Amino acid sequence: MRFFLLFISLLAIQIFAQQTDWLKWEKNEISYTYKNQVSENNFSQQGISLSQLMIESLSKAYWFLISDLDGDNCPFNPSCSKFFIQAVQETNLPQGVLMFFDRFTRDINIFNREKKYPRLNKRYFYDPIELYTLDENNIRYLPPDKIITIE
Amino acid sequence: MKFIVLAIIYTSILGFAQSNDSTINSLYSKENILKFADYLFCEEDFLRAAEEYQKIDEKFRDDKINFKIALSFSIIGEYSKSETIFNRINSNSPLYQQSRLELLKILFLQERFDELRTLNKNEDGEGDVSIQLPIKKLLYFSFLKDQQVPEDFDTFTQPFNDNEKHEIGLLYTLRQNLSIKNPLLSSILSALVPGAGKMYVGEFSDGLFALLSVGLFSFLAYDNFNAGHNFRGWLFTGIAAGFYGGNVYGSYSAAQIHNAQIRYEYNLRLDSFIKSKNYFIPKYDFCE
Repeated sequence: MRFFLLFISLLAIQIFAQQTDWLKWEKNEISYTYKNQVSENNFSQQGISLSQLMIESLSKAYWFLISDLDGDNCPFNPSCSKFFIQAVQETNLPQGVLMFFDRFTRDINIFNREKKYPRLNKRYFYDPIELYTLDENNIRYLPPDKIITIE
Repeated sequence: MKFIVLAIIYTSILGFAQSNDSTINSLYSKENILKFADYLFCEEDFLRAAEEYQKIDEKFRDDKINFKIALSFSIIGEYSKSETIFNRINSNSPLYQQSRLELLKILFLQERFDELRTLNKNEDGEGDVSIQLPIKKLLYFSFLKDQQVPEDFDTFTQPFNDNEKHEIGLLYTLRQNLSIKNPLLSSILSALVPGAGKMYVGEFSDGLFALLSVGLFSFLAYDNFNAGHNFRGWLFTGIAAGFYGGNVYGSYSAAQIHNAQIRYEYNLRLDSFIKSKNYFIPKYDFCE
């Protein structure tokens, strides 16, 4: 019996010593809390320039008057308001406005979206601003049958 | 006493099994590492094969081992590592010509076409015919990818055999007739008739919705001005102008995206063909 116990304990020590990948095998904590978009939005206007304030205000007005009432129904990622902010940040205000109106026209078109846009996380249609800056080097075409995963 | 003996035996077994000193554990001798690495290589487990080969001390590695390491890295897409090792293979080695061919393949895969042509020019005429022909094929094929297709079809298809000529001919014709759209023309069309530019690039529903949105807000603006509601009139004019401008802009980008899609699909077909031909590289007999 003592042999057996000694053998078991040596074996356990041996196995324990070889187990290093605790991160991979430990229990995974998953959060099931639904994300609150209002709390995610940053309404602070401290330390931003006048032009940034205008863009933020326009975007927030769009979000407040349209997005929030419409609910979480924007089929695209980034959503139209986020697309607008990113477009202005990447280019300039006039070009960003044109990009936004073009996106909005595509947003109201309900036909053949699945044949045109790849899916992001199997849910949203992925439509990044890089495709619309008019810089051909930025365009990375993604086929519609592709599913993109971003954490 | 029995405990101590048992514990000593047990720990020595463990110590022996874990020792990577080849003088104690023959599993770590060069021959056995090579055997295992060869096994992994032939099982197409290239990452582990490369790691195993690299366990052999560099001074004991011959060109064949180095070639296999470089080939493994090349297959798994670690091109810079692969390139470095292929470049080390001596010109007297029997694997030198193959290593040059593999280097050209890496340049092709990384779309470094100018370097590919320079390397090929430097070595033009060197080596036996069995290597020269694949090099020539890869070089000619790169013109299809690089969009610099030579005008003369017969000269272009000359290095390829009859089986390959058919598909190459199709790809050549397809390359010459890619349905590339002019972004500026697309924009002008949308400026004349909202949505027409989008329809020109094949986005019919987008074009229709652009026409509807510009039309609707223009009508609302007109109607409100007529009714004396100037504020609403200007508001809808602004929105209509936004949709109009956005559509002219969007038609330009839609043509660019259309062209990117055409090139992507064409390249997909090119890649699928050249992969099926193993980049015109003859098969190695390492696993026979």
